Amino acid sequence: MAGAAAYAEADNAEEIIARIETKSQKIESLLKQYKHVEALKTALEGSPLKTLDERCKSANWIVVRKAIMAIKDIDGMLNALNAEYYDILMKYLYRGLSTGDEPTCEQCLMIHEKLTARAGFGCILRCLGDTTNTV
Amino acid sequence: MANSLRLYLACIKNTLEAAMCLQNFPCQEVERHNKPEVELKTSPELLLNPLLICRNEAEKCLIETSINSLRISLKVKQADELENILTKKFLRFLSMRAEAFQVLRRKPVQGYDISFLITNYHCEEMQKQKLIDFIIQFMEARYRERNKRLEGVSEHQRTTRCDRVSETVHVKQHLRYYNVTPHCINHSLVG
Amino acid sequence: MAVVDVHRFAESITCHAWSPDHSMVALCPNNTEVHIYKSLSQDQWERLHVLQKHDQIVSGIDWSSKSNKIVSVSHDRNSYVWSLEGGEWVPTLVILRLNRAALCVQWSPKENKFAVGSGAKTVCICYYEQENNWWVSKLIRKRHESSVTSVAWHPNNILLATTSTDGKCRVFSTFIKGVDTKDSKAGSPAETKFGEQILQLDLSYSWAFGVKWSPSGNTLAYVGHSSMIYFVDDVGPSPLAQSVAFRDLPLRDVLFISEKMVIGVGYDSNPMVFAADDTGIWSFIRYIGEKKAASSNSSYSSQFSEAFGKFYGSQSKSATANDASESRGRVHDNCINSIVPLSKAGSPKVMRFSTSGLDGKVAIWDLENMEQELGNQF
Repeated sequence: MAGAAAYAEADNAEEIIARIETKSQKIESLLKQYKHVEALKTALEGSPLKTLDERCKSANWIVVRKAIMAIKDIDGMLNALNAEYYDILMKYLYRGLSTGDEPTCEQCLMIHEKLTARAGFGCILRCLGDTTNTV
Repeated sequence: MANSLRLYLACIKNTLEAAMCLQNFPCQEVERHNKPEVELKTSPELLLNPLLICRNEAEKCLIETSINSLRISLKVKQADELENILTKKFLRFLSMRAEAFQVLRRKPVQGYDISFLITNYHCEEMQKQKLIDFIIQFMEARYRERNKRLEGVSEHQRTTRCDRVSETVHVKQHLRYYNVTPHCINHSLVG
Repeated sequence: MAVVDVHRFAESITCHAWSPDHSMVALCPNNTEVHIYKSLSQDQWERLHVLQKHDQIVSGIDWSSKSNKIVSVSHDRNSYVWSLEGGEWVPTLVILRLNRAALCVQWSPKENKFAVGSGAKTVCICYYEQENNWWVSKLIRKRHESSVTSVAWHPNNILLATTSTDGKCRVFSTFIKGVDTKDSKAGSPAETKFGEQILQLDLSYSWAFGVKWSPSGNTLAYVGHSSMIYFVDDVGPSPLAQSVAFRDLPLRDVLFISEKMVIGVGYDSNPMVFAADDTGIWSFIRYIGEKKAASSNSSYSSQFSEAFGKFYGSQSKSATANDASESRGRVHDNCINSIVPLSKAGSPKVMRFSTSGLDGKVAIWDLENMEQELGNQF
């Protein structure tokens, strides 16, 4: 549940979306500098987990997807990513896998295999079991 | 292509490993009952997040988990009318043998071609690993069989499409693959 | 080697409990009966009694160490207290006043009460009424929003911890006038009235199971289905809670073997050791048995027909045949659902304990020669 604790969750949907927009710009610039892992961390941080507003969740997903799709070296990314991000990344991978969009699914499937090897079934269970903090 | 299938199946397998942690759990709503909560859906707190795993728009796997049961629903790719018919026949044939299969749900969940229902009782009687391998190998076999068939179908059959005879032959071939005597097939094809 | 004895009693075991001298085990072979076995020698067990009274699966058994009584609960909503009279176990029906399944049971430390968790989202506290020769059940109806999955008595005989499928762990007072005596010390739990909630812990986002107190009653541990274990110190108005996530399949039950060490059992079928360091921070230490080799998930190529064979295959046969070769150091080969101490009640350390699970085995573990391996936390 990395990130969720770092940000106090705003209760206002507009506020959340505004924050995601700022985040999006930051990620664009990080990706231009080839800082893929930094971009992914930024995307995952402060994800609106508790809100029920689907607009907020999709807005954040768009940002996270951008960061996920930019990743070429998955092992390198996982080496650089702290374990505290694993659970939230897993949640977004399943969101990606649910889209049915072939390139997104393909990328998420590749990361899913490697993340599971690293973070174990426990990581998948925290994604399955946590019905409160969803992405 | 082959790698993407491998990753798709690996993802389903890993997800099932995690999801298949079931236990005996009696019904909270009805006295002295014990029913698969994933089917009842009367106590939302006994359900986990459903997970949808897609390979693309046409191939999907939905995994719904509850405290004492889980449901796996598959949507398989059907490239053309012929394949559509054959898939339906094949799945229907399997569905008619639900008792033998034990874990096959009689009716697939809406929007899917085939569904499996696994309860805590299956996990007590059988090894979890074997159950998971069964589902994965079932999917694999379907893909393998499909590739074979796509290679085998001649241009002539392609154009005539719903030719009853050729269809039967195909179903027969593909059932033999599954160690089923052709005797049963006519039953499933009639009606 | 930590395992001293393993015996397969049935296809599957739902729960088990030991006689006061640990020479007999009472277990439910996943049906309506309670079987009592006596140990003859290493791996030789004789079935002495079959207790038949329930008409649905027996979900909980506890055997009191001082009064030598067995309490059983079942999904049939009933509970029986069994006493040994002239070589026979005689049942007394306890009117639980439940309209749903009973799920778990435990004798209180003084053995004058027992607690039953239920699918009716309630807890029954049962006590004996001398004048009527009758077990009376008093219900804690409030608070639980889903089934009560486990109950644990604090050493003071008053506080009861519960876990529920609503994800919460709660602590209640079970003070019953005439049964419990008021402690003269101010602020003692006896000040609270029956059914009052002392604490609610909201740490888990998924179903909670397997609550236990440390031997002193200072620390509480329970597990969540999302592969988490929770430790709570200073149970009271300002508790200190810790959540520990681990990488494998979730746990079902835990046992404190000392104030600073906990064994967790569950779906991984290999018991896990957790310990607190000098600063009180809990973490996963290791598996008790050797960690099984990574499952070969690359073997996707086997034939479909083979899968059929395996699928129908007699799992029981293959399970026993594989014991020696495939799972070296791995004692259980299905979910472990209970862990029971094999030590005198109230002793500060548990050196022996037993586990049982869906594979129908009861395993006895001895930590004597593991002390060094487990480090100074022990």
